Amino acid sequence: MKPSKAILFILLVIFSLASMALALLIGSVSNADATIIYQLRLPRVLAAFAVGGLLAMSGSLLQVLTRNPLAEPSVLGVSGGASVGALAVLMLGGAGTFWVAGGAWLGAVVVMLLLWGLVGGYATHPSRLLLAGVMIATGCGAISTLMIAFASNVAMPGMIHWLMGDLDSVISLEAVGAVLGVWLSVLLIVWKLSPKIHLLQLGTDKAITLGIDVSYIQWMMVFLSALSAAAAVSIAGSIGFVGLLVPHVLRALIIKQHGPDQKFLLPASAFLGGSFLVLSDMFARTIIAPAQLPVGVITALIGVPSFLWLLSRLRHWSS
Amino acid sequence: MNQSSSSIILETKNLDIQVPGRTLIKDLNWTVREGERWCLIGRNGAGKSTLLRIIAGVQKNTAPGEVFWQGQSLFNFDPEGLAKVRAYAEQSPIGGVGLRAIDAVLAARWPWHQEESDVERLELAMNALALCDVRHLALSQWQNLSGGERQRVALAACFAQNTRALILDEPTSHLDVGHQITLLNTLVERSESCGQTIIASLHEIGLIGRGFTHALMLLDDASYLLGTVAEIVNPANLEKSLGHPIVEARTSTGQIIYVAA
Repeated sequence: MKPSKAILFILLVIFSLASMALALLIGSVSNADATIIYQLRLPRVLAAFAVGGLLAMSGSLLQVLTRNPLAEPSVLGVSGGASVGALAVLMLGGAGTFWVAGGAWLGAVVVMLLLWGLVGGYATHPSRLLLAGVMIATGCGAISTLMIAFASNVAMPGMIHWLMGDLDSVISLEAVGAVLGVWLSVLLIVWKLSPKIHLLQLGTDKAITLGIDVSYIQWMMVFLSALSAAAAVSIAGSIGFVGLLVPHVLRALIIKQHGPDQKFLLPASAFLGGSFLVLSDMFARTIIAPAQLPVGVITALIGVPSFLWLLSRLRHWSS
Repeated sequence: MNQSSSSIILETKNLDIQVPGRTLIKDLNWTVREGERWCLIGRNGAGKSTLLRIIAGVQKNTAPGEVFWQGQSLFNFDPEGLAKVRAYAEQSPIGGVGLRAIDAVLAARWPWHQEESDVERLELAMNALALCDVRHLALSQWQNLSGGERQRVALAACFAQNTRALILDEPTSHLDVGHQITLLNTLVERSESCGQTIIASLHEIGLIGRGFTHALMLLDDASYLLGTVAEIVNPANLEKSLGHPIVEARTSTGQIIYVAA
């Protein structure tokens, strides 16, 4: 039987719900009671789902925008820019979800614009863009460290806590609500734009001749991918490889049957990305329980080999 | 179709084509009527591709001059409306990660997506692929296609877009001789049966007489010659445009072809 896109999508949504239910039930405390589940695990699971979905959508958008299968917010330095932006707000004494998230978004947008300026467009030189992104990511890491070194004694603990920030720090329902809200808004906008984003895969010239307002769509993709990465980073710190891995898994699922159909791939990343991070986080907090691993370690352990495997398979992708 | 009475589809008025530091074409006044098949002749860098990109609306013209499609200025066209008037095939078509041939052709139906079902769209796309002799490659990945196959898929996409005019940038460049002739025959048939207008740049001067009705020849001094093939295509003018002596030959069936001397 050949599953249709609609059936696959419904299966994905069911899988998402199942992964969340599983993550709620499994934990380091054996005699888990309702208080632990609702007050500690539920916010964490919901936040993990939203963060994973946002990272995967950001990756999907960046891969189409840059015509580069290896693009991803942490690889291109977008997540790094968000970290620098959020740390700058904390360093200047700002606090609260709103200002930190705003700083993160500004940092992510600045990196996107910097990439555009340095390389001269997103789709023209895929390999140069990737190199520039890797350099910017490294630079952002250094700037983050520098900022902490020069921060005042008052701001420093908050900054370090934020930088090491992981999903276990998510307890405020307000922050969970905000990130879920961003997840839903980005998903709805991306879903609406997805038929046009799909056509961008044929190149900007072809998309223009098909009647697409290419520059509007491209800028929407820049802002949405930056917004998604920033929202994810401001909740959970920089988590790599979700945005790389999830779009590739989805593409592999449907490509034979339906081609790289972005009308399916973009919304589906929001769900598979969420489930992936929920499950990764579940492992991160249970493998060496009662101690916890940062979830980024789990995603990197899965993501790095996958990235290298993809790189070796993409020999014909050069110029 | 009566050529002189058919309606004007494309018009350029006092159009200059410039690249940084140079004017490639000066003061182009060009009228293309429905059903005509124009070939664009000129040396490398003469401005053929830039001219095609500008009339297609893919590239903004910064130099003076205006382009009209069906009497309406290019700037006033909404993108979706223009997509039903002209299709454009680039010199080197690009495909995205994992894109198949059929996806490129299905995508070309976008301007009409509100008026047809998925089943109709698939059928139209498969027919367009068959017309360009690439139906068997429908499910092949773009990166596994040869240069000529990609070009034929891109042409199939242009046919599927079903526009009044086709703008083709060197459509024959990667094709073998057999497919070049087949393509020209297809173009002639489409323009004669449904009045589709063809504008194509061309390096194979041997093909001019096989399918085109009109020619626009770009010369070195930013000037140009235009008219029917019978009027202006001759060895002297071709030499002026291409910078190499050209001679006329005659096939056994009496057809005139041009070859480099």
